[in-house]
Amino acid sequence: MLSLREVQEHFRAAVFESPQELAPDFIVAGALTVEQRMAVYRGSVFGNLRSALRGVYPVVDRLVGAEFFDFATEHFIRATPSPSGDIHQFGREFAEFLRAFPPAAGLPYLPDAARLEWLMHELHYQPELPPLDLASLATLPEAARGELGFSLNPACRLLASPYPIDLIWQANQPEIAEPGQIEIDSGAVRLLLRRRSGTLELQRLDEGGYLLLEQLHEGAPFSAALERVLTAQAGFDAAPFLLQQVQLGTLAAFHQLRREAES
Amino acid sequence: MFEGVSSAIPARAGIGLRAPHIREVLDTQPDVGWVEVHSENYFGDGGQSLQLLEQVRHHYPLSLHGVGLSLGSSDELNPQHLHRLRQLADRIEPGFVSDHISWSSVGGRYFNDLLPIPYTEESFDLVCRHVELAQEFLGRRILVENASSYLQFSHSTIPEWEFVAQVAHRTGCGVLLDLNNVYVSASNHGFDASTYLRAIPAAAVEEFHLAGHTDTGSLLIDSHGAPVGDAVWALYAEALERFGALPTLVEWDTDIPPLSVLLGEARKAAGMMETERALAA
Repeated sequence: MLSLREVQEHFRAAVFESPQELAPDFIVAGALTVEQRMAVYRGSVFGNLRSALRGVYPVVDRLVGAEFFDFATEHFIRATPSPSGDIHQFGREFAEFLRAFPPAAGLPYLPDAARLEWLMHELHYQPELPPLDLASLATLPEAARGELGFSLNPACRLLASPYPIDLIWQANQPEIAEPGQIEIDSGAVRLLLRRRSGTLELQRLDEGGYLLLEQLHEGAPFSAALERVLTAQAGFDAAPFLLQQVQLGTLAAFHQLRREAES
Repeated sequence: MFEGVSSAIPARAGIGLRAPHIREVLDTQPDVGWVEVHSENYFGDGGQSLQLLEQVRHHYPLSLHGVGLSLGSSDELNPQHLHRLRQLADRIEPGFVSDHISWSSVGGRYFNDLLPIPYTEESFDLVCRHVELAQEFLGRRILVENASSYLQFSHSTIPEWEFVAQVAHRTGCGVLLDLNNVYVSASNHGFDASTYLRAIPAAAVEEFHLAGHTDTGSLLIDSHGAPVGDAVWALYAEALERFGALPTLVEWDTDIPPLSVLLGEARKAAGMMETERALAA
């Protein structure tokens, strides 16, 4: 008799691998063939996973059309194990899949549009922390400020792309019947995604602002982050940018980092 | 935290609360006894859905119904899943926490579907161990639901109804008896739904589920996309007679209708519960 493990391994193969060769012989046929019964499960599994992907990637769906989306997701679902009993965790790798999927090669901006949608999906499940407390920041002695680290609000993400994916995203929202022409070679974008009071916001940043937030997010002390920013974009004015980002809730907290000498 | 609204699920009709209806339920506060949601939809650390759910909980007792614990999987229970579930339960103070007698992962790969298990001594021991582990980790009794199925395994040695009854007996868990699933599986596999009901110990059953199915001509599919069928209402009447008026949930998950339609189904269930109470008095 097959162990439960063996049954479940066979079942997995019959659902995700070549179906014709793998009709398991430990299933009672009856009025339907085993293959017909397995087809019900295959349809249900692929249907659930595909509908989850449609929920996460409506812009990609619209850009490529339903038929191509079904075709691409069929391949993606087969190739990409779902990692969790929480179906909302499924689909993180879709952008990378599209990048390597030859039939999608004609739409070079598609993988980045997918990345944007995945980050938005993540934001949906993140808490919005209150903005950083400027008053308590002001009480710090001046000397300590260079050693400060700042953390981004969990409901924020950074994304850079060579394509204007923010415009592509906006033009492909359900309420837009006919998207206008978008010049896809209009230049790179650096985006800050933020959910604020439940509403999703997309803000374009300049190189300095993006780099500063990225560095801070990666844990760099403020002084070091600013130094790198100024190397990349001389004359970057950090003070008004930071004030704006505090007001918008992008920065959630600050913390004092230990000095190198002490660590 | 939820002052004035008990966590206990009353012996009334409730609705499966899905995203398209949440705002309307908050705005109109319809007269249903309780609501049930899919636990995994609220596994994040925050976000708007979770906030809305907390608001709902201020008005209704709430049951957390899982689809991803995979109690019948030969994989170990997923500790991260358990952790998320416990975190959500701590936050939302549910009256019930439930999942299915089914499996959905092997070797860490999830199907995100409720798949049937062979009913053998091996799977019985495994499901019982997983139910016990889940109950221990969550610090509470859970309910397990009979799943619907479209196939049977040739090496199954235990009738499904006996399997369900014995899991409850061995682990002390409750049974969430899904009458649509009993009907669908009975029809698909040619067993008698009444025999099924009679085999389940009355003391173990805590909740009923009702939902619609679709008929492909050769199989009944547990689609949750249609009104509850007449035959399932009839089986529900039989269940009320055997088990008494227990908390009853109407689920609708695909082609979700206006809230009023779902509430109409819940009212019908509530009416049948009233009839049963009058007859029993």
